[in-house]
Amino acid sequence: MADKQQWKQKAFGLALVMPSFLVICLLVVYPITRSVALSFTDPATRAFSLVNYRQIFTEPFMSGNITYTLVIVAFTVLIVGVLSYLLSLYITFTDGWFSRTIAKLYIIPRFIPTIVAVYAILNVIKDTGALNRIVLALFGVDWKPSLMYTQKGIILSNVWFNIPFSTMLISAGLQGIPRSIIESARDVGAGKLRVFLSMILPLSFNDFLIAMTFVFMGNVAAFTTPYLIGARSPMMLGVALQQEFSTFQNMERSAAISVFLFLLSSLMGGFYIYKSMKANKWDVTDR
Amino acid sequence: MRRRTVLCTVLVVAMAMIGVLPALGATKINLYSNGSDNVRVQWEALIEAFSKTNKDVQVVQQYQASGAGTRTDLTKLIAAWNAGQKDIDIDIMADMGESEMNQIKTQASLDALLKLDAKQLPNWAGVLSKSIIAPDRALVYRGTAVFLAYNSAYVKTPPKTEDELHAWIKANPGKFAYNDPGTGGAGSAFVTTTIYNLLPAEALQSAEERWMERWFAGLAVLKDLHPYLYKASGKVQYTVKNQGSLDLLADGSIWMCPAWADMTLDQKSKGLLPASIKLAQIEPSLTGTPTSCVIPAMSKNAAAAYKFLNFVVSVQAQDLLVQNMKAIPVIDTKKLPPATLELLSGLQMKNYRIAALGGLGTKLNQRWTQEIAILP
Repeated sequence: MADKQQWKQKAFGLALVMPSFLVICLLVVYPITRSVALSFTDPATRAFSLVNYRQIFTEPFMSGNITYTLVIVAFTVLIVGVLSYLLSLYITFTDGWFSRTIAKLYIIPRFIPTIVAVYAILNVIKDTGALNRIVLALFGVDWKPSLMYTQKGIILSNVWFNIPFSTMLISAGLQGIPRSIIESARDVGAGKLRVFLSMILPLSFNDFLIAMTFVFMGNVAAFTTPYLIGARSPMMLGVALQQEFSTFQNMERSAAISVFLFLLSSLMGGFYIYKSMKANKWDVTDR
Repeated sequence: MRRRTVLCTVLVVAMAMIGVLPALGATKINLYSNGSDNVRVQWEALIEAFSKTNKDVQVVQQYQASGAGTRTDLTKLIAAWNAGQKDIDIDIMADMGESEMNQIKTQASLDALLKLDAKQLPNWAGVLSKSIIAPDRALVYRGTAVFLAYNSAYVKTPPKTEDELHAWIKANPGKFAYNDPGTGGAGSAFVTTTIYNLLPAEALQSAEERWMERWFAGLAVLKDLHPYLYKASGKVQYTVKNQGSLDLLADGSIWMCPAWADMTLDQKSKGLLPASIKLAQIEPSLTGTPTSCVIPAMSKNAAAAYKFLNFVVSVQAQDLLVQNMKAIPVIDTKKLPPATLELLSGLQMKNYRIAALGGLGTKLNQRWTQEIAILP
């Protein structure tokens, strides 16, 4: 009797999961499998081959794109990490009208559509943009920001786009730290730095890393920003992928680039799952 | 009260009859148009102007937006021809490019199109452009081409030949840009002509792979020009899309770039480009494309179709075309009113240089990326 009940419950659970499982199989697993297979296909002979991968890693143009992309993503993660952690600390632990205003304002970039924001940034930073004209009007100097078509320009917009989301994640983590333990530490004489280094930092580091995996995954295959702000060579992998697919119509090579991007992202995704499943030894709340 | 109602009804019906009668007597013809929305708007304007003076022909536009699959009129005609059908409900196929003409030629036969009768098309004599593939069956009614767009505030005498252009680029470093050929036709026309000017003329309309071996000479010219092109952030930059170069031209960063005539003139008329931007052509010219109208041989309303097409190449209709979509007119521009000529900045075209590289176009873009885009 009890067995039957249990079986029924299991079947019900499976039935609930089935629709989404099938959708994932059809729309995610199947196309990814096809892409992987295609990426190992020789365009000329249709036989199994590593030629597409060999090309994307050895051809000067493509391998240049890979390095270019990784450098941009690394700097984006680094800068976004530092800035959003500092910002989170400030809005979580400081109480005042200014920090409250900042806490309300920092989220705004998230509500601006990417294409609109990129054009806005572009019109500010380009050599004849707003910055140039303001400096020219105020000081009479024809100053060129030299940010367009550069890695710096792309990183700048990436930082602008990613700070809200990662600040949101990190400050949610910081708010989860019970104030009581901080206060008790302060009561027994721990200084501010001590509290930060021994309590706040280790307790929020996990959330910080999780936020950074999201920043990495969101930027490694970016298209709009590098397409509009970046140069035509080298270019970020998302743009190169679009070019390979639509302009050159090299399906096999496009598949190889996609698989490479997918691997990079899933590496980070795996790290995220590992981090979020590992229980925090300090954590007093239930996860 | 009742009498009044009856009277009113009779009146309304009578008025409706008067309105409908001419349409009943009129020959209805189907015109298949294809393109961006400005093409649809342009045909609406032409049909409206035509119907004011021609009550006996009613033109119905069947518009298909470009990029929404294959042209139904084209596939229908090809299928009808191959099935040996005797009639078809298409009377005019408008907005036909040379590649569509080629598709009919290869998949059906040019005989599927009516050989145009100059007697029924008196205005044809005033048309300066001809289709290359079907000169006797296609009525070129508008066109556009890639020109050099230049800022006349800085450039007093634009280059007249390709050699002069190359000399100008080298004499004015950083003031010329062309867009990545894979992202738009203007840059593509510049790259294609630079390479094909060094090959026999027939190569420009050939998809044969043997020409690829001879691209190196033109690519060397492009390599040679590379260091003198527009620089930003310390490096030579190729713009993205046709608009990319026009934006640089608008803000004064560059003084010259290849650009589509219609796009440039349209933006100029809207104030997006300064009035000092002008167009010039070099010799050998950059490539362009004439756009034609054809009548299917199976159409039962050829007489009515002729009447409308004759109007399309009239001075009045060509004037409307320039005003509506800044198309390059096919008649002698001296016949157009001065206000219209102003919109055209003195542009006149007789012969379009057409590139038809087929699949080689894609390969050329790739070669350009691998050899030119990566230059430091």
